[in-house]
Amino acid sequence: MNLAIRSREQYVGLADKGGVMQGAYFSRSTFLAAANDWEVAAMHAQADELSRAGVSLKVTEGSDIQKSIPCLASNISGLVEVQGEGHAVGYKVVDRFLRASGAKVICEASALKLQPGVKSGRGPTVQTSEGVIEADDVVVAAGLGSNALLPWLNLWPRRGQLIVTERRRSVYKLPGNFIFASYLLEKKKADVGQSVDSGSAARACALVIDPLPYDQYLIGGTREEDDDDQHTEFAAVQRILARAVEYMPFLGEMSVIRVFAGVRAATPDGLPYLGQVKEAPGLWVATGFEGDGICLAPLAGDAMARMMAGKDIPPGVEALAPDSPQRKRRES
Amino acid sequence: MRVTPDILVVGGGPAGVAAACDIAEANLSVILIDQAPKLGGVLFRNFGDNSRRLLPSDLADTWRNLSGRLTAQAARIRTELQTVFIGMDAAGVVALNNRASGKAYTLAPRAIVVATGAIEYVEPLPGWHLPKVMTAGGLQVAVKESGTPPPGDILLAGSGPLLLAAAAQLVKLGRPPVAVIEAANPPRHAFAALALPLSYLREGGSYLTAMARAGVPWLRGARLEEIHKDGGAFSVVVRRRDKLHRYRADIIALHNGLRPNNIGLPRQNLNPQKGPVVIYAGDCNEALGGRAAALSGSSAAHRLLLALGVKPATEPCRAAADIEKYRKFQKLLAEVFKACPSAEYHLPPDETILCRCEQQTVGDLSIFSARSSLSAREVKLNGRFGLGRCQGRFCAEKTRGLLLMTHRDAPTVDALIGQRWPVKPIPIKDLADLDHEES
Repeated sequence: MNLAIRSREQYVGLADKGGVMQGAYFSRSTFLAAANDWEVAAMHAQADELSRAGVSLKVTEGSDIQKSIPCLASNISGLVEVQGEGHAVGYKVVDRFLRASGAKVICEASALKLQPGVKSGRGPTVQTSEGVIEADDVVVAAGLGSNALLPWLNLWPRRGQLIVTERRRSVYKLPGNFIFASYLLEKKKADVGQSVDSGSAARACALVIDPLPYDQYLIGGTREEDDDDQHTEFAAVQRILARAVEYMPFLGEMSVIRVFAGVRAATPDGLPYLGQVKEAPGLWVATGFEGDGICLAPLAGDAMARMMAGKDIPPGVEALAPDSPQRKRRES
Repeated sequence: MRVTPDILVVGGGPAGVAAACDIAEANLSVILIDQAPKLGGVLFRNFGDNSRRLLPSDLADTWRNLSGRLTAQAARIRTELQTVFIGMDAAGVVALNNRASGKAYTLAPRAIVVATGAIEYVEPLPGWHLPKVMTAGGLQVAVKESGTPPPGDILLAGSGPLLLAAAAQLVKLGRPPVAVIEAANPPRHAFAALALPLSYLREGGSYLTAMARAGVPWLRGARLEEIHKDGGAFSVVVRRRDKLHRYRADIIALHNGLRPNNIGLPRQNLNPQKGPVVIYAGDCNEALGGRAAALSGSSAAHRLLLALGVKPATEPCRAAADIEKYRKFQKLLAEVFKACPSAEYHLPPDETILCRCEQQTVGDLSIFSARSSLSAREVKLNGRFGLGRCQGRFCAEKTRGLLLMTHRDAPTVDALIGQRWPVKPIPIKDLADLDHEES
């Protein structure tokens, strides 16, 4: 959590006057909402954790909730506004960083094989479908595809089915991203390695309603252990939307224009991989962010550059070394 | 709970109805859906009211025959109108949405015939997106549905025989168009045209006669370059070789050809082990026109029955050979209507709208001009093309066409659109109340 807070601060810095992230990152609040006792408990647990980390919060209860945010249904009984959060537009972030780096991009090239470097000699070699590339340092940041190069990473797919609405102005304007407390519970369950129900129509569903630029909404999502990103199901999407309408009835009138699935790369212990691979000079890993990659991108990129240059890194990053013996493994 | 029919037929034009009849005649149950309030597709909708006198007689006979067979099979064919196909999901489940009632429900058919017809292509030019600028086919449908053309002077422009058909219909209804602007010069290909069947030539001849009697100019080798608003009407610029002509009209109908309307639909599948069998029929499979559509529907039904291991009621007709004939005719027509070099399409000005949903322009494509290779993902996310309400139905081909002028490996239309549902937007409340039928 501290790393996320630090990463967000970096976004704020980069989005400032003329920074690379201007127009790609916006400050806004995130709201945690709860509809029943166990959700309220989960919401408060998360709020306490955030509060201890120094995040400023605003708690609203009872009928004050609907007074402050009129589009919420009366069944929402708990609300926490997490202030000073932000919205990073993923594809813009990637495009901005890419352009700022001046890196040469080779599209539609698959990395096929990784040859480790030798101590105090040449760096690793990557065989790609577009030719062999030698470098002093190689960062494997290929999400689930990283398994093919470094199988011991043992990354797990966690698919999310998501819904995008049409652009439509409504009398309501959501002041931020809404996370319904069941999402926190689902994510926690997944983080401690509990199997998430998959295969049945009753797929694990956790509700997030995210207002996008241009009056659209992104509504998600499932958390399923599967890597097929073409797989979407009416039953799963119906469950998500039924709950979205239950909590925000005005969404019912909007139309869905797109349903898609994305696959997050999860690590066995729920912590991302970020650091050097021991015994493999010049080989680095940055993956396993499980849906938090955009949030952590500035921190991860900066920490990676610092580690390579032998500079200081933020506290907490050293625990993310991919092959640290302290890290939990999960049996395949 | 209703019982799931064996087969879903999407689209109630000649191809869909022919497929539904053949399948029902082989003793399978069918649900036949169409988004319109009546069957018939764009060709035969409101048949009996206005379209009968607007249609060539051989086509009218085709529909009369199909309607009779449909009535005879009423026990096996359940028809659902004002109903759209939302899509097929990864589990092979299909969702339908009745637009009138808002009711959405799922089915698990053994096979699907997709007969969604054709979609008109319009080349983007300044002003093409304005209200009262429509497609020539869209104008024909509006005329069939209301019985009269929309008020005001009408100009037809683009290329192809459909422009002539639309012009002749307007003449018949006493409202001849201002002019027909045609990029090709068909009489120059008279020799190729002679290989067309008599019915085609007779049809074309009747259109030209009607136009000539009403004094409608057919400006050939010419291109409509710009549409400007001018008071309550439009003023347009037409280039013919080096000369510019100006016309005024209240309504502009554009047409640059037909494409299969298979946007976002599930891919064809003939193997029942891999999920529901999916077969395309009619113009949705290959834009060969109304005469080939019923044959294509029968051919699709035949392949579907064989894939399911069901014996067809009739022996395979000569559909395949006949369809080949229409394919040849279509090629000939394409030759006859090939744009003159001086009227070929060129890059329109930067401010030309390319994507109507997101108001993205031709100039917005220039962010990719420095890039040697491009992914569909970048064109969509960074360019915001193919991401709007129409999901690329109207902009994907235009975007690819323009990108091809600068990028050899521009993403394909298929890569830009993909196979995502909903095929058409669906209200959240309808999807949240989705009813699951028993199979």
